[in-house]
Amino acid sequence: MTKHFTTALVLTAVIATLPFVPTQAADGYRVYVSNERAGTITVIDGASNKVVKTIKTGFRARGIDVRDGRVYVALSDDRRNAQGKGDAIVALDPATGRTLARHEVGTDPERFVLSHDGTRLFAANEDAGTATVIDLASHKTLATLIVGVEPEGVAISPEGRWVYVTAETSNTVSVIDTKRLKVVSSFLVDPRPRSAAFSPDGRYAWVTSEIGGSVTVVDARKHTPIKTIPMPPPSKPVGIVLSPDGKWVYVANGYGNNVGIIDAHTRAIVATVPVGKRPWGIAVTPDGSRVYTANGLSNDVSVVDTRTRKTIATIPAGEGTWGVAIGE
Amino acid sequence: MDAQRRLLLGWLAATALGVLPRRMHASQTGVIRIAAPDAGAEEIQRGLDAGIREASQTAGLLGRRIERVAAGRSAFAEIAIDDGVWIQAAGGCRFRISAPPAARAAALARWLASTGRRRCRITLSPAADVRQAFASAGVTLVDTGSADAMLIDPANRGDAGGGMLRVALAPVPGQGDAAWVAGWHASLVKFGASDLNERFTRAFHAPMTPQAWCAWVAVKAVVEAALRGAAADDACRALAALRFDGHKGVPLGFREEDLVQPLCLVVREHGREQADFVDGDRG
Repeated sequence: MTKHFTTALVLTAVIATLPFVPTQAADGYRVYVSNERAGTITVIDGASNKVVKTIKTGFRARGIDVRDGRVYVALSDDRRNAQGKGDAIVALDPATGRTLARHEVGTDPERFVLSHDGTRLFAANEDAGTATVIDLASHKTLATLIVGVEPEGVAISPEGRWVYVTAETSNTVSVIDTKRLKVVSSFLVDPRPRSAAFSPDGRYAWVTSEIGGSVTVVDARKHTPIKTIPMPPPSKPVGIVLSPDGKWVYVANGYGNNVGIIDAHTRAIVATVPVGKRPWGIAVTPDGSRVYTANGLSNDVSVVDTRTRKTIATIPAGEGTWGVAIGE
Repeated sequence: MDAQRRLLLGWLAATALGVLPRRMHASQTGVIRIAAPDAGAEEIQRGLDAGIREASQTAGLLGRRIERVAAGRSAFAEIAIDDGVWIQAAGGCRFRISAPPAARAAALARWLASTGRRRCRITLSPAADVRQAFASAGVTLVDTGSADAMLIDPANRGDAGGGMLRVALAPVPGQGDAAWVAGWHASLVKFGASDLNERFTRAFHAPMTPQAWCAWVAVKAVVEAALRGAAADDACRALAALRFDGHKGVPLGFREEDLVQPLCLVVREHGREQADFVDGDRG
């Protein structure tokens, strides 16, 4: 008995001295959600799945990302095809909601991606049919590149060399060489490509096609489509993200009202998880245990447990919930 | 000299003189030729121009080039204007882009029924397809007496045919409020329609009409079939199998010779026209 008590005491002491490792799914992470019609950013605590803050932007809020303690969001005003005071990608202080930086990238900015070192921003200009590269420090436009008609999705490869820009009307994906700042290749995918995402090892890219109802697997070294995966009707694939270990592909199936899960190795669809209405944006936690979707027609966020493949929470957000990003 | 050798020498000579058949030359240089009439309704010409402009941007990215040639010239396919906008290709196939009159009549009749308008007054004898459509939807056509709507144009011609089946709406038929079904309208918003309408208006300072949309999407379909690898002698098969996007929220494709597509209901109230998609998958 004494021996057991001593052992327990020692074990307790040892465990107490171990460094604290947070459970990555929740503690320390916040979920940032853009709301297109409300013009707000909903901030959700990852541990409790409770809304902790709503940041007013005053403009139509769509593309969203979090980097180095800043929330980047694409804003636009009511004046289409004209550069207005609301048309910009802004960096916000998530604590105060204050605008820290403002980058003009053309009219009605929608989706964008930041370079891994946080120095450049690549944005799709839907109206102009171009992609713009901005130097974040100087705010200068480094390049304006012709891509397909109605460009939308923007994704950057893990090593940062390639940026893929999808174009809804052209059904193309254009490949930007980030060293040369040139479009070096373009290829066709199924109708109305929306988003792209790279595998963590950079070997493959995955592209959603909303009207095609499919996901295209691309050899990201040759920039060549190698397989098209039809999603189960009535899926309309829009947002896409890969698990951090690269094993699973999560697809926000838009009007299909579900998240499709694809085994990245076998490329087979292994599950469809019902979520809110018209999931658009999608993000995964750094440990891969949770997937969040921004549901545009039900104005909420679904939380999917990736182990059980079930929706475990629905969190009200703002009107026209659009994009979702996870950060500190 | 045997026949094979003569054929080879002839082919070499023709190559040197640049007199090979145009189609082979076009294929080698990556040119996609589209034949289209250069006269006709201004709105159709605008739609063709818009289609060619956007297709050229796409083709340029893929190392190809679009060339518009006069109707009747050798081409991957021809856009023809008849009782609507058609695509026709070598091999004798024809695909109608304009919404078939019967489909538009049926959609209009179903909408009347869904809004409780079950009696529709007529002043002239409607076409047989109109009578059939209204009967199927449970809307009674009456010559006299009270009615919920009044059929204005019973001819029911196509989008590009100059006539549009439409109904004047009760309670005061004839006072300007009306409804009709079309293939497109400049007030459409969903499924990227507003983006297309914006682009078109910015380029031409004119709204995208149903006829303009038909011409635009005809070019889009032809170029897409070519860009996806079809040769001119395979255009009919490629077009028949094509599934493409026309900013209507669902994949468009051909069933026999007609484009299967969602239509839109246009309601004009107090002088303002507002359209939304009907039929097909609305998501």
